[in-house]
Amino acid sequence: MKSTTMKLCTYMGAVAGTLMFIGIWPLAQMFPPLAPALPAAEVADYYRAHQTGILVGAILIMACSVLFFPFLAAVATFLKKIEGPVSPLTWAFVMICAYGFVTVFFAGLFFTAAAYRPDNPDAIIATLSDIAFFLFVMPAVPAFVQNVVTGIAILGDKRAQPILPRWLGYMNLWTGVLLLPGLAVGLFKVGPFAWNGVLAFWVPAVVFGIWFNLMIFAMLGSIKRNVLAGE
Amino acid sequence: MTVQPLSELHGRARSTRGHVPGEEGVWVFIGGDLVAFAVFFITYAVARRQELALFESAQTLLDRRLGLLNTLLLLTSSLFVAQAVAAVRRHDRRARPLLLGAIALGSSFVIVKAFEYSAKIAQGFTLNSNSFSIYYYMFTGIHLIHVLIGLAVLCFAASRFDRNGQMPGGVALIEGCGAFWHLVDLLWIILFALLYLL
Repeated sequence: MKSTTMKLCTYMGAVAGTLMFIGIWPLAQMFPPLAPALPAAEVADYYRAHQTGILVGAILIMACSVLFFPFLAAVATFLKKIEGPVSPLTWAFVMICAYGFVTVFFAGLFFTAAAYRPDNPDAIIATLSDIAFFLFVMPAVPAFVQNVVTGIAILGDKRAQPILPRWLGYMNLWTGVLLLPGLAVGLFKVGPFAWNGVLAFWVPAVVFGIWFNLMIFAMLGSIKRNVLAGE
Repeated sequence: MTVQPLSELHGRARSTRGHVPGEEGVWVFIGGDLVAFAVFFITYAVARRQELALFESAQTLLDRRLGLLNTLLLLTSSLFVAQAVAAVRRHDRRARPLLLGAIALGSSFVIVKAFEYSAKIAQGFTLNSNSFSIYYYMFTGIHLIHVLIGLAVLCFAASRFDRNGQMPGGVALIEGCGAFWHLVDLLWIILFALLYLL
């Protein structure tokens, strides 16, 4: 019974990831993001021209932000099992996720606000759009700490047969480091570290995709081995 | 005549047979990091081709002597780490001093870098001065984060010695830490060549 719930929660991550991708890409057509250097008038025209797609895409983004939590709860359950009764890293993970993933909800909210009134002045639409993109990319900062915490917790597992495979721990550390360039997006409007750049957007986006799929893969493997059974 | 402890013989056999140093998982991280930096370097190469004149003139502003000094500091510290790994394998008490030496050299790298950054900023060469400066500060900055993580890793390894300067069963641990430090060194050598020399 318990393992069914765990499986459902884990799969919920895949559902959330897919919804987010559909929302941001074919619906809102914000993938890749609008160039930060785009003049306010062109940004505003983009929102006016794609209003319905952006509004519907934003609904999916906001919905998925909540669906991530069952998945993250499944991760936390594994971390708790690894750490036992004294579990500071699990608590840290839970708290970081609680505010790190909320930004996804707010990103959807600001996309909605930007597209909601097409007759708003260009500057207002462009500013709301800026906030939406920052909320979408900046969570790299909490995600970095979240990955490091997860990595350390998995590597701290002293069992002969670890709850989660040790390579997953190192993979989390790697993901964390590669998300870091997202932290600098506020400094640039062009180049590789701008929010649509190779290193601040594409690398983290691909790495996040790899991380997500490998987490689901490894967690399903551990559920199959029934590692959570027994106290 | 001294009898070699069994674990030492085991360690020798391990080291001569060409095993994977550290635990295998470390190489997931190192391989992944190398892939990421490969993407960094390709991005840089493409950007440099697009604005060749600007990059070449901006690159001459960098202080090659400080870059070379930092290269030597990291190379020497890597040598110290390699010696420390070998010392742990043969249960030599010199392992910890060697490791502390590597940490001192790594810390000097950070200090030199701080001087280099502040001198550049004083000259008006800042983050958004031109497209080269973005790469210079961001790449060396991300590398610097690696150095700091590497120093933390080495300090962690140095804290694992017992009172007799031994690290019982710590061969995999120090090999893993050493492998990461060599990665930091390797990345810097490529960065130094790309940013300062090319």
